[in-house]
Amino acid sequence: MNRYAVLCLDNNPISAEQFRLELSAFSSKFDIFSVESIEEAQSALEYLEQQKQTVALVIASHHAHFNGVEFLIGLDRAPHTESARKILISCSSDIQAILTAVNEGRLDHCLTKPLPDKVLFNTVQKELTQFILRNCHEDLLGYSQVLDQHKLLRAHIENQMQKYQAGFLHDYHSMSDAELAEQVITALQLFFKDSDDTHACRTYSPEHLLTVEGEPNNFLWFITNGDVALYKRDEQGVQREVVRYTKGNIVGSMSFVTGENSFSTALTLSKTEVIKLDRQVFHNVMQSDSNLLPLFTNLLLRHFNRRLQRSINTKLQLQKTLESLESAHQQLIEREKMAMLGQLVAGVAHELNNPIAAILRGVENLTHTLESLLTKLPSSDIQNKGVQLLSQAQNSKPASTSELRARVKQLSPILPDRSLAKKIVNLGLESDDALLSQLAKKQDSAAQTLGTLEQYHKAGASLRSINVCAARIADMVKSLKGYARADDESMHYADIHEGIEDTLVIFENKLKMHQVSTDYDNLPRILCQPIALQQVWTNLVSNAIDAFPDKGVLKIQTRLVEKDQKRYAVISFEDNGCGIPESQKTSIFELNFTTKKVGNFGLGIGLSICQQIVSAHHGWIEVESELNKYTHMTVWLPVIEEGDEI
Amino acid sequence: MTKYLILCVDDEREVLDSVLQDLAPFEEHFILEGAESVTEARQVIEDMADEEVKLALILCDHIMPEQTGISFLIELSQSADTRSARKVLLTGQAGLEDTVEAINHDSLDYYIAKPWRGNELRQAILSQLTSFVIEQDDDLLSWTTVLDSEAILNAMAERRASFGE
Repeated sequence: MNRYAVLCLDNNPISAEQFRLELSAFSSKFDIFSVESIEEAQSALEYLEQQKQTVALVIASHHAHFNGVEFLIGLDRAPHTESARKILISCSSDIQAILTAVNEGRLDHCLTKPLPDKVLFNTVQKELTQFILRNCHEDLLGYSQVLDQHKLLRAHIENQMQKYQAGFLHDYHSMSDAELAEQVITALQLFFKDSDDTHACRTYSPEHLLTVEGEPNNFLWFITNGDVALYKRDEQGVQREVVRYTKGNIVGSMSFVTGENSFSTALTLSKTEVIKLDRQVFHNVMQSDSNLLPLFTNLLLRHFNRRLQRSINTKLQLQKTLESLESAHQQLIEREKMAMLGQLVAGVAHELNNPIAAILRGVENLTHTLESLLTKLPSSDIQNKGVQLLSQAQNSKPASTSELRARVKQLSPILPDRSLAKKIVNLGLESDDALLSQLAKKQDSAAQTLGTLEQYHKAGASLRSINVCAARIADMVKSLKGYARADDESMHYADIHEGIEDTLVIFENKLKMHQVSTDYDNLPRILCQPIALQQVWTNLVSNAIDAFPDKGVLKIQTRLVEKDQKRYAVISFEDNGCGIPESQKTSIFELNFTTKKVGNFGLGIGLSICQQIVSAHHGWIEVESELNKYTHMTVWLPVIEEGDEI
Repeated sequence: MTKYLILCVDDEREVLDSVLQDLAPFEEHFILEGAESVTEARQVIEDMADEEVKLALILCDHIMPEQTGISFLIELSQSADTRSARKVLLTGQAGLEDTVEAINHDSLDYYIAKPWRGNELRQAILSQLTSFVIEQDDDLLSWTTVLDSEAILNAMAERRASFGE
């Protein structure tokens, strides 16, 4: 029993016999049923349905007394007949019937009697070929003997090609990486099972080098068991692990495919079983089994795609890391600022103690002085003199202690009493001969007068001292206030020198032991962030102090310089300190560079921040240094004056 | 009564003047001098030595140009003439390291922090001067009314005891 059947319907026995003869040529592949009535035809169809056979072709006659057309139209209603090809054999020129068959019965072919020899055979062959092409892709070749060999063969090849191409990628969709690898490995192992001349299947001990980064590679390794790590050298030459491969992974694929030198170094971590292929062996393997090529191609594609995915994921992760690093950096800058400010405040707080002590003492002394002045009222003569001394002491700076001492000495021949002489000198009464001679004669009233006058002088001196010290405190507070800046300090026109001077006030205490000289050019007010810049000056001065020898010398110089048709304010700080070793000059601006010792200033990342601030001003910092001689830091800031076009 | 020198050193004139004012009551029995720098202080000590006036007490600021107070005190303790002088530091900011160094060099007898109180300063100086005369002066009796009389009388009693009286 064949899969397909051909039904031939004609109530003319002679024709039927002729048809049977001509159709017998197809009987090896098709069951041929020849019937002479519609009823017979119907029962044949029923029989075929029971047999689960499909009708491939129905040939029906039609004439006035035999409605073959209707039978053909009815075929569409049953599943096992709907795909059948339909040939109508018409006796007369009954056009209407033919058209009905075409329109309603999807007629495929129409023949008219009488039929010449072979016409039916050719027609049937053509129709059955069509049927097979449409309905039986899987076994086209099986019908090529009886049907149109040429057509079927071509269709078969086309099918195969299409299938091959289409299936190349998609056939493996359902497989996991591991399954795919397993298949390739199994196929390879099968290949080498009988003869393995090249010793392709081998086992390596741990720490065996498969590929070496930058060197040629001619092999492809399939790992069948064990672990292999891939390493790559970074810019500093440190070998970093890139990825770890296990069973099913491929090593050497990139260089094997491109012919380039190895991208990474592969090293076995444990006892590792591999299949090692060189190009020739690979070629042989692929030749041996046409199914292996798509399988292998898939494996390789997946291998590269996984690599790509990994690298994209790594990149995303890096991006994230970079972002968090950026925020960490911001925090670090903030902390540096706070640390610096904290130390500055501590230093200034100490420094404030001096004027505060003087003020507190001055007030207390003034209180006593006033009390005694107000309780015993002297003669108006002495009072007038006293008021004069008071305002004199209040308004003029006292002579130096050494000068005062010298004057006391000078006075000693006239007035040997050192304590009295000191008072006379302090009050500047050396020219008051009357008083001097009275004192020399040891008149009590003169000493009393001197005592009273001294009280007036003291009051004036205390007032002056309080005034001077309060002014100093105000100065220090002002210079410190400069450091309290908002992060988004706006650019405005400011005097660079003011910031430098404020910085020097802050460091007055630390600079006391050393020598500072300033040499200022006539700089215009330039567009800048003066408080941010003050952080730069603070760092540079602080670095100089840290570098100072016992007797430090700090030279600060500003110049207006024209360079490449642009004007710059050039501010330089030179110390005579320990200098910067050649090897460190390039790294001093790096964030992680510090020579900071405990007790030094800030967090020790100052220069990195200075550079950021200066480059935000579109300027730069230059370093010049000689070990144990000097360090010369120069800040270049472009000059934008009020009225300049920005 | 032997005259001794009290020397105050501070590079800030206002501070120096207030110290001198606070210590003015000592002028009656001591020579009170002020110096604005270590160099000047050295000169004063030298000049006074020529007049046979010995340094009894130095009151010194720490942070000064040229030389720190502590290093000057150490210098003084290493010279025979000034070794016995009482050494007092008056400062707002001597670091721990410096202070420890001075103490270890036996160069610091007392430490007064800025800002100070007049009475406390005078009390401290009085007690230091008392220690000085007890150690250095043979005629303790003359000092009983000027300095810490109780301490001086005790010291006198002790002396007598050691002489076997």
